[in-house]
Amino acid sequence: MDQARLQRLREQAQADRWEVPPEVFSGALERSAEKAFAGRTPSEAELDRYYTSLHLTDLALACACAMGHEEAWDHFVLEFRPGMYRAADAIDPGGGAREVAQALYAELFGLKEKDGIRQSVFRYFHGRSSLATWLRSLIAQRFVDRHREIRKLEPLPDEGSAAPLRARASELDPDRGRFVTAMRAVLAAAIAALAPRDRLRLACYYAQEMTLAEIGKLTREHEATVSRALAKTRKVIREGVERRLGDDHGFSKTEVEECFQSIADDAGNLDLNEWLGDVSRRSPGEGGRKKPGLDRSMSEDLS
Amino acid sequence: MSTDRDRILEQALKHELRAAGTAPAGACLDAEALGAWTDGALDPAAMAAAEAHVSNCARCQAMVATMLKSATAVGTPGTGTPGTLGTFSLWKWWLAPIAAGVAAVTLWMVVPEQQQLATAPPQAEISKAAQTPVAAPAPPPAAPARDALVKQPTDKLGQRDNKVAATAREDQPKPRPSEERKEEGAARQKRAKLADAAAPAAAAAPPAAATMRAPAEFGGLEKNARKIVAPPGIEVTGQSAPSDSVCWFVGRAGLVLLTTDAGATFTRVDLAERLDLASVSATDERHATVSTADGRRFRTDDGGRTWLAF
Repeated sequence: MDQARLQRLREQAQADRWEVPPEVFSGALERSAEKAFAGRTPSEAELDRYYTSLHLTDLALACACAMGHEEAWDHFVLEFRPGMYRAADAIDPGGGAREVAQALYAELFGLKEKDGIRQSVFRYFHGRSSLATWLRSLIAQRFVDRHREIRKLEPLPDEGSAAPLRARASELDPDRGRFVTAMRAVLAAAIAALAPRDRLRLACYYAQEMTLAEIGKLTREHEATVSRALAKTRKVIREGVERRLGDDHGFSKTEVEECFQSIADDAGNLDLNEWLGDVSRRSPGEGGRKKPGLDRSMSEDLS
Repeated sequence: MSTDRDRILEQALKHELRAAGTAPAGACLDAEALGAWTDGALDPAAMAAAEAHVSNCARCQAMVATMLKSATAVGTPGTGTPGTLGTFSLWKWWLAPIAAGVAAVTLWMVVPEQQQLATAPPQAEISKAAQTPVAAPAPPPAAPARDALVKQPTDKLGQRDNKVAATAREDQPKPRPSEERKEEGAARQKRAKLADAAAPAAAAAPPAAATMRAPAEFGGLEKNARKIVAPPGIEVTGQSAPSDSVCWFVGRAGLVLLTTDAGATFTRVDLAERLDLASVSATDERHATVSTADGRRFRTDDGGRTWLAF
């Protein structure tokens, strides 16, 4: 790397504060650019813009912590660890994510060694996001993966639940299975035909139960825009489903209606079990959306 | 039939999207890319690629959702490090003088009233107080100032006037009707002044969370509804208080709460459909109209037992 550029970036990063050697900081910058530009060779102007956009002070701190610089580590503990734990508690107030955060803290410190060199997770920080955001995303990633691992070990619902209910319903109406299959096929096709961002909004809203505001943060849209886009997407899907049922499957209007009713019954049974539910829907008290109360008791006292 | 199909479709979408698979592990976003996305540091091409992947990958969707939930609790994404280097220090810089100013004005207005309303003060004290020149109180430190604002409703006057805490005050001696009227009038004045004093701070305060800004944007909050507050932990997007004791609250996922005793107890009268509600307008405890975030409207004429789309 050009020495003048390196010197300028080091000054911006206050790398001397943590005694980060130039070659270490240069290596971190080059790894970061290599990942961001994914194999292609960027122009000098692009590189300059990229380096300037990085969270350089955080990158220098991460380099110093990975090296085991004591003062840098003290600074990290003082400034970042509380944020890690707050994020963990927000993800899972039950303490599950805090365990993840504590394990991550050990990995950041670098308890493992390879060829005599301490291996810290800090080496994967490239400065594109702030260090605090990167730590939160690490916690989120590991929490989700751990939850998914646990779910694999959970027993499936017993035989007294959804499957027999569907079977009995199918016996009563021989066409129902055909309607369900057709409806699911056209619905999947309609979802697949959506633009990625429309599908993303839809998945965030219905599968992950994110709020409009959260989706807006992700897509950089106002929540009213998200709301309108969701309504529009629903309309597109519905029209697509109705058209495909008629055109592709040759169903009459009455049969199209039966298709809708069949999927309503089927989805209802599955919803009761909720065994397809994912991590972000299971932690209580998260986000702004509440689960609908199945028993809407008039005497329910929330005070 | 149209509404029915929409409802069915929403159920089916939820089921279908939840059952989505996970893309091959190598293609998933790593923590670095996820962090960069959240901080808005991805270039358009990288962001489009990330969106395309996440829209089809249940694992990444869960990661994104989990990440955003933690961001909501910790602070706005992309605002730097937590702790002393993050946004909180910026808050403190300008929140402290505002809070101190509000507290000073509040004390200036409320403390003399409290002295006047204290029960039967000795005549000597009255004359002493009259002789003491009234000086503007020095601005107290930020934290105590905020405490003072918070604690005001729980003082003796505030308690008497607060219907929520009515059941806990039965053991207190009941004032005579004439005294009660006088004190209630003074308490009303005090509440009005407190509200006015708090208004600049509320207006100047930065938005706490995007979800809490929604009511104002959708016109969901009413000015006369501020006396009654929703139960703690319940996210409200709109409320309507047709009288001093009746208040309707709406929230996301069809949440509708009704109180008829000024917030002492709440009854949950949700919509059957899990729609995000943006606002509510009520005329009394039986009649209310709610609007969803996407513009649909529902009405009840029986205190929320049944809701009709219109």
